Amino acid sequence: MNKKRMLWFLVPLVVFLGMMVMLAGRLGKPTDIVSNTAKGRLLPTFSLPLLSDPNRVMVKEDLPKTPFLLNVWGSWCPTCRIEHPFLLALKEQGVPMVGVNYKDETKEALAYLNEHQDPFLYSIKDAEGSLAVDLGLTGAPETFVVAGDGKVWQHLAGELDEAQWARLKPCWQALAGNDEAAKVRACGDQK
Amino acid sequence: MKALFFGVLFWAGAAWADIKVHHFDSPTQEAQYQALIQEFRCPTCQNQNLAGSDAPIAQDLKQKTYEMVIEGRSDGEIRAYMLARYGDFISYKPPVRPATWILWFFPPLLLLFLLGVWVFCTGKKKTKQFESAQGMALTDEEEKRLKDLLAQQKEGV
Repeated sequence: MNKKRMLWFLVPLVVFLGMMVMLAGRLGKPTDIVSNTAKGRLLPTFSLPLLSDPNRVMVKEDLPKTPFLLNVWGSWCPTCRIEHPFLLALKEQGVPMVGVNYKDETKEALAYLNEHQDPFLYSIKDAEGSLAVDLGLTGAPETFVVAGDGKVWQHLAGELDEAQWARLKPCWQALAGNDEAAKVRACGDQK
Repeated sequence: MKALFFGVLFWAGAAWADIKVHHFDSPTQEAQYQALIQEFRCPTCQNQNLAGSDAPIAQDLKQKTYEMVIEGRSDGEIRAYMLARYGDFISYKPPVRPATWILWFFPPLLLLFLLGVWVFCTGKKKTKQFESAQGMALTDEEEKRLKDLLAQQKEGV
């Protein structure tokens, strides 16, 4: 009888302690689920006008043949404004970037680039967000590290800053080479 | 004051202009659309479904869902389209496969297990009560005494 009473006391205690350990392990960690379906895949095909010249239609094959960053932005997006000076700094370092102007007014987008300078080789105009949906976009800004063959090796949701670039830069650099193992090492698991 | 009044008026107008009205060919299609946007989760504001979200990407996904419903695509096809782009996470009703078994089958199994434990425990209790009742049963000697007592009482009457 005593043993049984002990069990009634111990079992809930152990369950409780287990839960405490599980929950404490999650304390302070981000709870957002980051969907990374674009990673490890080829960029989706698209056919969208150039922001600076709507008469010119860009397709996937027009994208750079060297590793580049694909950055989704909009003049309406506050975080993009915060991120902008860092993109300009990357341009200075010679990192090629293609912009995807996401759900924006052409006039406002061009005014934004005039005012803050343009870090991009060019921007594609995704007014309806069709490319964004195919990319599995969750919001703006988002940055994709893309190899010359159009494969996405890294996907960052949110602001690209010094700390994030420290993570993405080795990947971008490795993609320029021919060493497949080095690419996987620098860019992480590509499941 | 007047400026403020007009400001509010125009602001409200702009807010209304954002609401898109969808036209459906049949009530079935509308029901399909409504059910799907209830089921899909908004990728930006997590823990909201598409129906309840006004984030840019949620608007796009609603529009896409609408277009596919109008094209006559099935729920399965539309779900596959979303899943390919956003993963299991996009749906509040994730597909059943080994990785999601624990999600689907753990709660009913736990319920069954607890029901089992409950039935087992109450069954045991009953037998115990029965046993103790047996223990209280009269011995032959006591039985005989009881009979004698009753007989004496009868004689007395």
